[in-house]
Amino acid sequence: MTSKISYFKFIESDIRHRGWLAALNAVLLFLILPVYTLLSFDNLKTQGRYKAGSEEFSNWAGSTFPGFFNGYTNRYFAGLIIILAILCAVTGFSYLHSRDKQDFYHSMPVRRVQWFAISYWSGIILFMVPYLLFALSALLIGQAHGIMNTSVLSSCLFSMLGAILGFLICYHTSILAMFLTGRIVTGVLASLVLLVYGNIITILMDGLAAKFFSTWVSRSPIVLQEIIGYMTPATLFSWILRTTIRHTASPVILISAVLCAAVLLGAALLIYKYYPAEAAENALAFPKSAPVVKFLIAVPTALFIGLFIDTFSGGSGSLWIIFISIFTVLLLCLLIEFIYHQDLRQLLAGKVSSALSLCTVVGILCILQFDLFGYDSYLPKENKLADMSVYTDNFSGYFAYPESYKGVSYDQLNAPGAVITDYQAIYQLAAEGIENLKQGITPQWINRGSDTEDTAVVTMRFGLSNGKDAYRQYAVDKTALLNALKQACESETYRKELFPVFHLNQEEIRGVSLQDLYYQPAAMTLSKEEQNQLLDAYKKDVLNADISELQYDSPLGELQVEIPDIYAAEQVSGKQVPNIRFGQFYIYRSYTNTLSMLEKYGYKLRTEISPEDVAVMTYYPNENTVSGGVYTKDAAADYSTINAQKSSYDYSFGDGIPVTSPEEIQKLLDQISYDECSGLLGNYKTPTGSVEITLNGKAYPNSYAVYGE
Amino acid sequence: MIELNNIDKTFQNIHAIDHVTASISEGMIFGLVGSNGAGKSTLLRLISGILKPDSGALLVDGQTAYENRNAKENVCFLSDSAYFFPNATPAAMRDYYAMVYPQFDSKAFDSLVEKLDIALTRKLNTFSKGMKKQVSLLLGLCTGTKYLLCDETFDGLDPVMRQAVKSLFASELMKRDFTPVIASHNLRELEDICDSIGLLHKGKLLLTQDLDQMKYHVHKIQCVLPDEAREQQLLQELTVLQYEKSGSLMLITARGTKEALLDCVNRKSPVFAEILPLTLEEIFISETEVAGYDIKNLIL
Repeated sequence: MTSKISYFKFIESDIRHRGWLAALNAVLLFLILPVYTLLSFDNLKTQGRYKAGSEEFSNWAGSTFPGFFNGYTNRYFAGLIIILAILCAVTGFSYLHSRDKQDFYHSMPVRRVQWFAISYWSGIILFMVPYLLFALSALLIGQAHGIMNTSVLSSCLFSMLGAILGFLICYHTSILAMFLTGRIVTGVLASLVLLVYGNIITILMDGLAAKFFSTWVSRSPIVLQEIIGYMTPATLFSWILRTTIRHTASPVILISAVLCAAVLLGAALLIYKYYPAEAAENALAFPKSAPVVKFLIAVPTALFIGLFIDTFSGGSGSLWIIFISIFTVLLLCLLIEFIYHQDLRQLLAGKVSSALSLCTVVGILCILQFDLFGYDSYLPKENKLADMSVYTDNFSGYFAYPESYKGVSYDQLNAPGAVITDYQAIYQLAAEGIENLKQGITPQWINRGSDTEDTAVVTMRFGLSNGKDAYRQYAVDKTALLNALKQACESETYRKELFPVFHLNQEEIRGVSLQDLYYQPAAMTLSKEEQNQLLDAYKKDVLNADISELQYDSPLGELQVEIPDIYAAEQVSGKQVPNIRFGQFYIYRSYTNTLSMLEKYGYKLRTEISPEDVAVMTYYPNENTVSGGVYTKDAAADYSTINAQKSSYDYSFGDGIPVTSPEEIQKLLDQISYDECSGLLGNYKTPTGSVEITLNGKAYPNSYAVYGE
Repeated sequence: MIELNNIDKTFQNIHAIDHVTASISEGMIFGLVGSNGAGKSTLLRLISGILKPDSGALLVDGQTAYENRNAKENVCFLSDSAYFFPNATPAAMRDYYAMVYPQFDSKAFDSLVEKLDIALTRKLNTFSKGMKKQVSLLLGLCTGTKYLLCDETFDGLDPVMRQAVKSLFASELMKRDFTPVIASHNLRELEDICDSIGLLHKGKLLLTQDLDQMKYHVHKIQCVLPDEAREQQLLQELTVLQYEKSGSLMLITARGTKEALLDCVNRKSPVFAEILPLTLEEIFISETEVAGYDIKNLIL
């Protein structure tokens, strides 16, 4: 007759045998929860931010305090969760890695699944009891400091749920790692590898492609990244901490975390059932997996280390990454064999897997170095192309999209409105980009700060007929790009996608400001109807704007709008949500509808600065003004007074030249314009210096670029 | 009864147990002898349910041992290097065993510990190897299990303690249904305690024999016969396990009772004849040589 075992007694006994871990957990969690919370309150008091009832204090309580419970706002705690999870798993199941212990436990009349349950629940209790206890203490400290209300309490409890889920993910990963190995050291290493393997693969894929392919765009299919993310415990861990800190926790991430933890536990149980007793004191539990594990670790790690060390070389060539990767894969193969056998004489064992690892690294590097699959020269045939989109980073200097202020990811390349079906001009642009690559004009070359006046980096999306998308980036001539944009802007849909004013929700706009050459934004006193009329007029002008004008002409000023700040809104629930102001709605001379509407409402854009308004003016020549230590004739020869003051000038470190002569002030004022933007594609004119002008009544100067006549 | 039917176990490329078939009857002390690496520990680990056989059937009282609590409740395995919890004392180990084995006799343990002069509350990590062995044996004896599997149990015990343990085994055998299985690489160590012995060599069980039967049925004859023809006749009539001739002196190890063998020799009118006693070691060597194995150097 079988007698039943008392799980409670066994668990109690197991915890007693791991008393040091119980003590360590208690001490560390005590320091990281109640003590850290008390320190934070003290810190707030020191900084003078501890004011019960104040908005800032409430914001802190709503946004920062709940993060204490899952480590989102206390990174030490997040790290500690991982460490404690690994420790609980390793100490709980390390008996499998010792033949003596295994003989002791497995010879007893207790089934393996029961031993598993005993060690598993002991580990959970070892973490959960001190965690819940000290989390409760931290909540009480919050209560004593008057920050607890229903909202904060629910955030904290939700955050605790996140910490527990995060712990379970790491705990189960580490348990699985222990069952895949036969030594504690390899068990710990395997835990870390399983936690971050997916991240390393993602980083590697992106990093290698960026290193070797000039046209690579870091936008590997988002779906793939997400899938890898959901399959990578470390990513899921960070997602679960992030999502449980907010009220708006993503149920998908919560469910995924639960599923991930369950799958890891299921896998661990399954492997435990078949865990071979003879695995104890071997590196791996299943020796047949040794070559596979070696290959899976050696190849990505070698490339990763190669990529990492290459960053120290300045990233110019690929010699270092090739050399380091090959050297490292050889070294890793030896090291892994040493870990497997613990015998220097066995370093060269596993020749097949070593050769395969080396060949794979060399193969990958060859494919990348010589672009054997023609990644950079890829240009889909026109009959296989359904549409295209184009985007240049230069847009970010010219346009400001409201999505950026709302926490919404805006991807213009994939926006339906940005799709260009009449893509001939852009297709030619891509072909030109590929030709440029052969001349060494690559996006990387441009981004490194080479001569970029005539060249822009563009990212293109090739919408293929089979429904798939391909992305590439090229360095192309700005004029050709402008012409292609002009053609694209013949479509009203495209224009509406390109110009941020069409992305605005006019109903949520709380105010409009106007800024001109004086750079003093003035809030406009307009009714909602007037505000809408002004924006409608602006839209009308934008739809009719000449794209060349946006590149080559200076605007007269810009409109700025105020919308609710959703980030702040998350933190101050129930109170007046603050505004956020953004602009870059430039107004040009040709925007007659806008200008007349402004005039109608009593606002006028000043296109010149009156000399009388100038309190102080300082001129800063630049490399275009100075050559060989003296002013060039073209740029500054006319400034006789300036020349009289200094015959030579170090434009790099100079303090600037005060301009006091009314004539010269006027002359410089004639050469400045509204230069908050430097054209749709940037750098449309070369400045010959800059001036700082302190206007009367102002404490700080405005800076203007000076353009030669 | 423990039944091993064609049991096979391989670790990676090591054939640890090679199709072993045997049975260990109840109420007797079974010795398992073999050189280092012969597969003794593996066989005990298989019987105690730690390992699962790759093939064959292993039954403890008719039940599979692996992952079977019913079967394992009747078996206690004492490993060659006993495991104790860190910082544990004999008392702590007693309590743990009492939790695991419902029939554990704590009073008997305390009494035996006192008799052997072992401190109940002293930490085991301060004990000598021999003292740890003693604690391990006492724990095993007090579990109350029917089968006690001892791996190299006498290794490390001094002669006095060895004798004491043998007495304890004998006492348990008298008191209850008890079957110890003792594995050792030293045949002499088992000679005076075991009722039956199995010889393992390279994973194969070469033989299992009842010791008394073995000693009763194998003898060494030393004789001188008048002529070669009678010598040949004698050799043909006997079941010879081993034969050597030094000058005219014949040394024959043969099967049969002392009386039967002497009678057979006397019929040949020997010049001189006597029956010599055989050590267990000699019997084993003879038996295994007949089976085609040369194990002279394997048995200590």
